[in-house]
Amino acid sequence: MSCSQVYQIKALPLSFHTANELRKRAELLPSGPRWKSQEILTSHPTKRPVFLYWRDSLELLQYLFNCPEFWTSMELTPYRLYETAARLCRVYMEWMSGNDAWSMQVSFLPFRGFPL
Amino acid sequence: MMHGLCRSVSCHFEGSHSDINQSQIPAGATLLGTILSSDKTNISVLAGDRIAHPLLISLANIKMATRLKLSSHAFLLAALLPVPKFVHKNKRMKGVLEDRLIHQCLNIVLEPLKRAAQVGVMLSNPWGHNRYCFTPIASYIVDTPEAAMLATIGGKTSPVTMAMYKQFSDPFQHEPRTSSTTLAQLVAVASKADPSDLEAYFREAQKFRLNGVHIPFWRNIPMLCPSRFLTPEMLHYFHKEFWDHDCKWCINALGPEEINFRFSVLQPVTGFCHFKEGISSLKQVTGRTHRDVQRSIIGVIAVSAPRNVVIAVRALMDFRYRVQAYHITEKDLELISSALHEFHSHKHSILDAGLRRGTANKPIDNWYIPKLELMQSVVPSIPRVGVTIQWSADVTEHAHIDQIKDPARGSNNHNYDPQICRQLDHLEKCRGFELAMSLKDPELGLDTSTGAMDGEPGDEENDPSVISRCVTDYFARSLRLASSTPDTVPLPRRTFSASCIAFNLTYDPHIRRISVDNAAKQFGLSDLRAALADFLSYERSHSVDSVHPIGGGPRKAAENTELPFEDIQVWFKLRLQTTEIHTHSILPAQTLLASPPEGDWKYGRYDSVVVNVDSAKIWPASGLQGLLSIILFRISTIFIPCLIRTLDCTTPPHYAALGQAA
Repeated sequence: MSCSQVYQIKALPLSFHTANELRKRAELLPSGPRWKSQEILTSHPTKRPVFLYWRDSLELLQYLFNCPEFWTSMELTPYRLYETAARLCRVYMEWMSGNDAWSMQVSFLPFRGFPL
Repeated sequence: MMHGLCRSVSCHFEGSHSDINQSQIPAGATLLGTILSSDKTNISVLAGDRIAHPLLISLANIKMATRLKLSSHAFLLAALLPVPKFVHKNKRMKGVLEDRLIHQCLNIVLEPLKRAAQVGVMLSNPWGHNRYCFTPIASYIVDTPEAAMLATIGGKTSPVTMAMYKQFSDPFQHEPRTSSTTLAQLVAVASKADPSDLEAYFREAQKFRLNGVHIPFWRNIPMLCPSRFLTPEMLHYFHKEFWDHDCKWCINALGPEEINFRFSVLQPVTGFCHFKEGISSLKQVTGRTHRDVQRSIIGVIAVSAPRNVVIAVRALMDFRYRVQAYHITEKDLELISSALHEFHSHKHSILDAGLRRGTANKPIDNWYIPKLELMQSVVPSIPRVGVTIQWSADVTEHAHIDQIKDPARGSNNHNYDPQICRQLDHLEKCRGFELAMSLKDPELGLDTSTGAMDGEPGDEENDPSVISRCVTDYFARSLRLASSTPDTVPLPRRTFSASCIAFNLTYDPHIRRISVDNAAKQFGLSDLRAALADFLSYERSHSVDSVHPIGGGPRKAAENTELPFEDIQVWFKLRLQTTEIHTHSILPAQTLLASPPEGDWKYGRYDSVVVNVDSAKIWPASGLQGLLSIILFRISTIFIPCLIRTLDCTTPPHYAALGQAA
């Protein structure tokens, strides 16, 4: 690269001037859950040593929960869905509309209303 | 049903105090339903038996529409479970050791999750607010053998109920196999044999129909019970079951030659597989093919197969289709169970006719089909965890492609696992960077609509099973065209809609100009002129925006009626788009084709379509019969008068779908 090109690049209104700098900036971002590996000791011999590669399951959930992409489509409260206001016929769709989620969530919560 | 939906009412938390039990979480806490999925998958292309055993993780709180979209990357790789080769002379014991190892690894990986399910954990949302979260397992998506392995059940036994193989055909659900039952059995086994003495322990475990795993990963959490987290899985329960059993019965009922012939003469439909060679000799079929065979099998076997066999197969098909809905009401649940019941009351005819055959074509006289028993757990599971389609392995099997297979392809074919991890790490960093950029500059946008799997090019717009693709909205386009000034858009409009159907034509007609009489001759429609005259008079007296049929019945107009034009344009291809009945979201458009008579096809070839022509009726509430005037007609060709364009370009064009009504 000629000297004049270098000067031109340095003159650009960018926060980085080399590929390395850009990469370092990208590395500054919060990274996903880290991989771990561990050797598993087995009671019986195997042909090769057994390795487990894994990530912390809770960190993964935190990553998904924290992801701005999913925030608009995240359901956080269980609900019961009915076809009509008479509440005769239940409708089942998402996990949160099921009875499992409902019965796990505690029954006495601050509000008892049911928004229409 | 449709009307009721619009007024769907939801009520949040209105349970009674009696609901409280030990599996409840404290007030103000948030439930995060974890979805796990594991399945062995082949990673090498041409290089022998390189197998990976990925464990994927996702959140049930993310709505189905997003979670099931492949491009949303909602399933993350949590672990690569080892696939070791044990040195043991007994093959059976090798299996036991492998199963034990999987449970041991799951224990390590899921330990933090299990703790959080019991005591809760603080997690932050995108705004940095902390929420007190509990993380029970909502679903563990697996295929049938792996389900048995996870439930620590041996072969020929149901993983979710107490049924063993002789009870698989019972028309009711057996009592669930709770974790406490299994754990009590494990204690009993351990009292007789030491777990380290593999053979003796396995022998004792077999007496309880267990698989010899002594420490199941779900053992110490009361909420964690295989009969609850092993949700019904569509791909294996329904589609593989259909292919392995129903389809074979049908082939045996008609004979391979006959059924192959019948499939070969079916009208090919754009976007669906056509079986030119028949179905009896297909090998290595995919889920797509199963579904395409399902679409026509009833029509193919009707009349020729024994009546009760057709009823049984049809009932099972009803069951399958109804369960696949994205929205299931209690009334639907009744219909689903009655369909299954109908199958069970007619299934004996399949055995009577000797259609269930094993090796060497010998008739089998039993119903030892595990998936038949598993179907019983579908209806009870829907009220518990929501619709079944969200727990389908389709999406997790596709996730294997970008989480395992693609990274493995970039490796040097040695020691895959660490290389896969490293590559995923890089990809995640890149995604994180993209996300940060898109947050900074919203115009860049995060590209979620593309980059999905593109395994099968050429059918982008006609594959209803793939949710990931961007669907062209012809409704919006027709509205836009209708509202724009006549000079700015090509007339007649190529996209137009009527109530719940949108139509789209290509810009160029297939025949630019043909006289009415020549067209009548070429397409074998002797009454074309009269039909067009009828159509015009109908347009004058009725609204021009509704779909109405011409054809069928006697013509009102005389055969040599004078038309206000002489030439017409002809289209052979039409794209139809409808909306999803539950959510009213648009469905991918379907292409309909017609070809004029030529060669052996004396009457040409036409796709059939059922259209509601009465705007007062709404499908499916009105059903096919009764008041709803649905016309089954063959879209033959779309004719547009050429000259009328100049006279009358402000009103919607006079499209005529000419049909020889069925």
